[in-house]
Amino acid sequence: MAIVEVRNLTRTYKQGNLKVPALRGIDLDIEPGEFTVLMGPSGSGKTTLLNQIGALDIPDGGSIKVEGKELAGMKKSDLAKLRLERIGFVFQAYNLIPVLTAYENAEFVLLMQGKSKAERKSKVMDTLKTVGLEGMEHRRPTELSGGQQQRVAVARAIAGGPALVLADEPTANLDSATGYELIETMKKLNEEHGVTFVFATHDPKVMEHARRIVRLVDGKIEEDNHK
Amino acid sequence: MTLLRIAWRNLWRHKRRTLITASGMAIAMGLVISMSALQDGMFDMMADVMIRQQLGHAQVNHPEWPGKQSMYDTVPSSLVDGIQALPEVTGASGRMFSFGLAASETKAGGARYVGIDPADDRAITDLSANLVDGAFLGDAAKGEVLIGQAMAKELELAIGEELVFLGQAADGSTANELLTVVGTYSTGVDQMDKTGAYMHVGDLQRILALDGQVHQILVVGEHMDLSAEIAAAVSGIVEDGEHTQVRAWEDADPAMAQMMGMRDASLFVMLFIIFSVAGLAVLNTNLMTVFERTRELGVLRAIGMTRSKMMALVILESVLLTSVAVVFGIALGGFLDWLLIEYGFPYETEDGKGFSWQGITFPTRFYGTVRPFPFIVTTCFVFFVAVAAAIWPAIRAALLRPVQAMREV
Repeated sequence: MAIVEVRNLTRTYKQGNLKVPALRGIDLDIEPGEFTVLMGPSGSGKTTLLNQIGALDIPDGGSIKVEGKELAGMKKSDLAKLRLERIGFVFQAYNLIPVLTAYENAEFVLLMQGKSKAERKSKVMDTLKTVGLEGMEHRRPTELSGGQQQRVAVARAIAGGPALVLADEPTANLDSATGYELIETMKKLNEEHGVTFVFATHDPKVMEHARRIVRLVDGKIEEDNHK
Repeated sequence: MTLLRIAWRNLWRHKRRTLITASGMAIAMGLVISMSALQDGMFDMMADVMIRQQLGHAQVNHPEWPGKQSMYDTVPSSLVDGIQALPEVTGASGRMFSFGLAASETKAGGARYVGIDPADDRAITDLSANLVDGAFLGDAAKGEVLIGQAMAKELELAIGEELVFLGQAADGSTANELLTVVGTYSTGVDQMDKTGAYMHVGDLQRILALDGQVHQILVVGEHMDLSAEIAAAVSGIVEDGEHTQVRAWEDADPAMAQMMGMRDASLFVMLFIIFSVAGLAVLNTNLMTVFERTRELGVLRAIGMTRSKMMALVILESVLLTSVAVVFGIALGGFLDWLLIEYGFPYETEDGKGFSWQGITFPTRFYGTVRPFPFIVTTCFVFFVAVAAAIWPAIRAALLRPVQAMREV
């Protein structure tokens, strides 16, 4: 069964009296273990689609199912629970909690999931090691480089054991080498731990690693290539 | 636990703002607590002096005396010795009252004579504080009288001159006596200064032919709050019945007791006024916090924080801010209270005396009274304000939509 099933999805934004269609009838399935890139020019609807899949925004029409659950009609608290337990997020601007250390940022989702202290510690330490931040647990975001911060964001996204990680331009704020290292790390997580990733990006480095590239133009899927 | 950790650390992201807001609340708390201590001190002292002089912490009298004030409604003055011996009692003094005429060689006027035992009375209150000229009554009954300054002027009497007492004795005879004016007093209350005359209770008993009788025995203990215990102890040796009754001051003057019960009302008024202003400052800080961190709060919502936890986070920050304020506010209030207890608050009239009210002259310095109540009430009130001032910002934070919030810079 597909982790994500999107059918005839539409989303239109209002700018004053103007209606701007961002998604115009998207159909997409994401299978477990995929490393998929949504690409396209600015305004093509990549981030909007990612936000719909991640239950961060409400579509105007169509349907989205995550692990078979229809998002439309779900209560806000259930959507929050879904995001907490089944979806990880990596944002372009890292968006870490500045007052928490790397360890605490990664631990945050587990804590909200109600995991025990021992389980949290074990998972966080493993995750930080996996993303290459061993020994930096006690540093706050301001004491970390951009690449390290984004690794903490990845650790936070995967620590809770999500079915799916959504990454919106995760390398956009990083230099080329750091961005490459980050993608390598995420690819490793995909291959060795089976984490499903969906990216919204136009970074060639990410596309280089992608096994599937979905090209969006003007809110529609123009190409869907599996490598 | 993490919410608490985040809230605590968030508090110190803007140290200056946090400290200014907390300091404002702490100063407000300190002022309310110390003002309350000063007010309690003034209130207690005034009430204690008034109660001691006019009511006693407890009093013994004839059951008919309070209503009729008849000359014949007396109790034996021999009860005083037994009452004085009680461990709960620090002083007891019999008093006698009579209305009559006061005359000099040339003039006459109505007078209210009060017979006191100067030695016993000193344990209750210091009437000599009102003395303006001459000396106070001696401990022995020697035909001395202390009159109000206004009466002395009215009757054209000087110290050492004779005042003629004219009245009716209990045996039906005319009571008349020559008394020597030993001093004059002033209470600031016209009626008292024009008609009040103090004399030794022994003299008045003799003049009224009421030997061994008094109209009232005032009893005092350590504090007016112990009136029930004092009254109970006195009741143990003075039989309540047809001829005597023992009453705590609250029963003797219910209006005064009611007024004492209302002293906390002003504390609540102070709290309301001061913390309405402080609450706005906290509300402003909380709103600033939410506006500044819209993006971050959006991220928290995005990664799965529920609305209730988001609200809890904002409220927790406000409560923690207030906790800091409470620690310093209690310390400041405690320090100011200590100053009020140790050094007091000067309150003198132009002539260097304490102010007078209802015929009673109060000391020239008021001292604070510390009770746990203002500390507890102020702390609870401050936390209530903290939560109230966080509700609107908390709702704003909870209603943030992740996508829009994360677009905020």
